[in-house]
Amino acid sequence: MPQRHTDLSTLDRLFKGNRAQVVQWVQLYLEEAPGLFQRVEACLAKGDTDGLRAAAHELRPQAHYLGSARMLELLGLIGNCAGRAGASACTVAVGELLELGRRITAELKADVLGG
Amino acid sequence: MSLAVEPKEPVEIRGGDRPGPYDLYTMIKLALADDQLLFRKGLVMLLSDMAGARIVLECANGEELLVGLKTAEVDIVLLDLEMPVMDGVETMHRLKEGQPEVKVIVLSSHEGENVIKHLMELGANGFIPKNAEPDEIDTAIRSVAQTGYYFSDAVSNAMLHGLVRGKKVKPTFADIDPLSERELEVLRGICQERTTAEIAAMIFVSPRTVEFHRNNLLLKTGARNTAGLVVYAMAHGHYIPL
Repeated sequence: MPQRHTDLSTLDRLFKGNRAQVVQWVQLYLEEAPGLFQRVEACLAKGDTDGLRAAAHELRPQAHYLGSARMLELLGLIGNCAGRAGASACTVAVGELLELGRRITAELKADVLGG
Repeated sequence: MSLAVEPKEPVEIRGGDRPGPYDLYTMIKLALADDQLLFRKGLVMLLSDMAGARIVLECANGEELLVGLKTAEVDIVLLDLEMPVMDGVETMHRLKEGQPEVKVIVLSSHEGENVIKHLMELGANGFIPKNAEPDEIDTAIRSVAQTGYYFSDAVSNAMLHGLVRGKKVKPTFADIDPLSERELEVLRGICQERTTAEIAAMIFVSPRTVEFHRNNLLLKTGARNTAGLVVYAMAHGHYIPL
């Protein structure tokens, strides 16, 4: 069974089973999330530690909504790592986060939007 | 510019709500200030089904919020801390100075005790973590609307621990307290999140008398609001949260 990267029961619970709202939120996420991940990548490339921490921080609520424990974990790691050792020390974690973001996008498109 | 939300038809409050300043026919008017578009829109969606409340103002930072509040009538602001242009702390300062009647519930991903304690001391009426469940958000809004504050376990613990560490909590009742016995009864009722009507019933006085004692409490303790009364109560050992 392929590994799941999200747990949509979190969204179901948050929106009290309102499927239309779940779909609406997912569509909103798919519109806005690429920009958030691009910001993470850009901050890493520029060595912008504060920007990287802020970008990671901004993704945290979305990770919670998506029920993605791994994303939450990575965002915490990036925040702590950047704070301790600067943006450049977070390359591996950011790489994994970006890859996870792509997989989550694909999963949401397939499961929720049927495409 | 602020993004005013399209007004919706008011939703009637379903039965079972506690009596208070917001009765069955009063809509709680909410403003939301958060720079994270995705989170903000998600919260708007979550709150869209909340009975008895509606979001009348939606903003991306504190400056937009203050501009919007010049024309929009708002009861409670859900306020993010980390925002560009004007952050949540600066916004709260300005709100408490210019529009003290507007209550503030802070939204934050930071749940450290020092942060929470600092916010409550600034005058926040409540604190909700950004990963709060809809039920907690609903409870917080209704609690602030009806009692003026919302104290989750995290907030109560943060304040108590902060007070103990700061050695503001005395282990004995050595000081002579300026409050009367009746005032202390009202104060404890406030700390227990009871409504005016509930406190009145508890101590066998009229709600008007409870309000009278509450005003005296504010004057005697120097507290600016209900949250300040709770801080005072904890500092003087009148209330210890479970």
